Amino acid sequence: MSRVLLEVENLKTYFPVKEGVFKKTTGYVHAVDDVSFKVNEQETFALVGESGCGKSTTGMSILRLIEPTAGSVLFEGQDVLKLSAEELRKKRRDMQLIFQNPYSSLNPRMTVKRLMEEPLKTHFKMSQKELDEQVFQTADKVGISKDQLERYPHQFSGGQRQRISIARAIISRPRFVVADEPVSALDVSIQSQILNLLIQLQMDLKLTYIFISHDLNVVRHLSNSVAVMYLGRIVETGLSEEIFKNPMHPYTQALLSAVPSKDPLNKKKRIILQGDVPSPVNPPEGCPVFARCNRAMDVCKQQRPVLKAMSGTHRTACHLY
Amino acid sequence: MENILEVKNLGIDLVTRDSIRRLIDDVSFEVGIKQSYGIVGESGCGKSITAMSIMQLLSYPLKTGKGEIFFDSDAGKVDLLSMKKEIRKIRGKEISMIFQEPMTALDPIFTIEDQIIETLEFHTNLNKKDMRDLALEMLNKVGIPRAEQLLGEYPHQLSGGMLQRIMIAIALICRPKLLIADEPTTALDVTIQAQILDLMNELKESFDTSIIMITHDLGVIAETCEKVAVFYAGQIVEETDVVRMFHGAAHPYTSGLLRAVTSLGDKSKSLYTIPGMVPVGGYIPKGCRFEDRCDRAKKICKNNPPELLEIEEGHKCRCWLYNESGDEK
Repeated sequence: MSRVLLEVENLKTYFPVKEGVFKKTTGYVHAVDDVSFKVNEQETFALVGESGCGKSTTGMSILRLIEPTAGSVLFEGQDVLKLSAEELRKKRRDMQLIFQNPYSSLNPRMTVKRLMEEPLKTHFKMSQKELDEQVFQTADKVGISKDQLERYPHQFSGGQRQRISIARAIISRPRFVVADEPVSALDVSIQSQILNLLIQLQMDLKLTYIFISHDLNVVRHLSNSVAVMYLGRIVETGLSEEIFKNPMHPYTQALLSAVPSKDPLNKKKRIILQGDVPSPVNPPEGCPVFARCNRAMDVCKQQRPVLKAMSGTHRTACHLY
Repeated sequence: MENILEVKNLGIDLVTRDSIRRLIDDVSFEVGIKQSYGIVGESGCGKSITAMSIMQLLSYPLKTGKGEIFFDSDAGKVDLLSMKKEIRKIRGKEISMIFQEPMTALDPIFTIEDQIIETLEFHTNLNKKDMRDLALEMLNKVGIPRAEQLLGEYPHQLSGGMLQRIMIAIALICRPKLLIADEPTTALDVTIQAQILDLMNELKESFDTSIIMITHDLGVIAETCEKVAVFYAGQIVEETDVVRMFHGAAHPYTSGLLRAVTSLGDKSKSLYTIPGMVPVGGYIPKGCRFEDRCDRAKKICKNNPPELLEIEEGHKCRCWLYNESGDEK
């Protein structure tokens, strides 16, 4: 078994809700509520869920782009949340992020070359010659040709721009990358190009990914382990084969059945989840899925289920088991 | 007229001060009564502007350059493109549209009631109370709980799934003959998407409406449509019924798209990709528009544009592979 690179323990990120003239705090949005998981070296750990379930906030909290409220994030045994600002800045060399929207995450006034040099200038002292060399090498890896380096982001298509974002993330030789919906904004035929690139880079550079996505097909293809999130909590986690073959939590089952079938002759029987995700400001006391679950019982309303081991690494938080 | 809508040789131009570029070229299709017709393609292929042109919603610099769109209206067969102000009588009443982003398509400063009733005020002579009752009835039909209370609320108070239901209610309130849905579920989560697609299938049955479903998601097509047109760079490259599209696609682009989608999940191989990208900015290759990305391109494809030909009953394809006159060359 491979080594654990990242260990997240009881991570909580709350945002205060302020109201009135004096901005009095009247409550908290429980964006991430008591989330724990481990990521093995050179593996891909996927966070899936509907919008607003806290998957992106989890990713941002791990990198401390959003300051978590409580918990710990151990990166090779060192708690990232306890690092000073300067130590954190140095640590970021190893931990990078690929953003969702390649249209808004690149500075429109910088050329591709300058965009790619920026992380190197922040983290290393390099001569212009060394910088050039690194930029050329990385550009080649992600499939951007040399003569495109003097252009500006608006001259590229979405897929190309996402390649630039990826280049920026990997140029400082990180070991760990959080990819926040990297292919959601792209067309199908471009999506598969970028996914192949991510897989290739993982092998070449020995990267560890946290892959955040709402697209279950993509997650299934890419990930070793999965955590399904709902209302800031993990409701089911385990190896991705287990989760996709044998989903145990009613929410995971419904989520999987909602994915449209790719065959008109073989339409799936869908479990329709009623209603919407409840507000995370005052989450329900019992099971978060209670109001929408088709197998809810009385106990679900009062008591919050905890993650229980089912088999091996497969754990689920549901009173059914 | 046996079809509800017949689009004939439609061309849409991008008009600038010193040039005219044809974005949509020679698009023809028919939508049958009570049929759901799917239009699928990647972004920029022209599927949305085709739909907009049906309702004359294109604005400068886009203009319909040629073609006719016949619609079987209450007043008989009409050409929508040649209509002037009269088209307002058809918009929202006989043809209506659901837009992609429910969050931006509704006006933030009017209540839900105002926005539903607006359509009725324009098209009917009902009094205020009847209109309100009808609005309530519609909201119940699209599965909205606590409809009475919701009529007084504003769009920002509701979730995306709810707003999309309201959009559907507004679109269907005059019982249109044709509903154009432009990526109705793209901005929504999968679980909500499943709810909305089921709702649309259900309503289509009870309202006898024909639907044009525009999407980039092949899964949505498989779930809802009977007939499909695949768009690529402003042209229809393949048109057939939905089963044949998924199980016997002829055009290399269609089969490439399908392979890209279905190879997801098979971890043993790397994903199938269509190399390159869609021709951008109205740059149109001389021959087949897909030639530079096609793995089965022949010599003839480079300089001679193929035509959309019927390769078997009810199956059209725009490709030299299926054109006998292209064999020798």
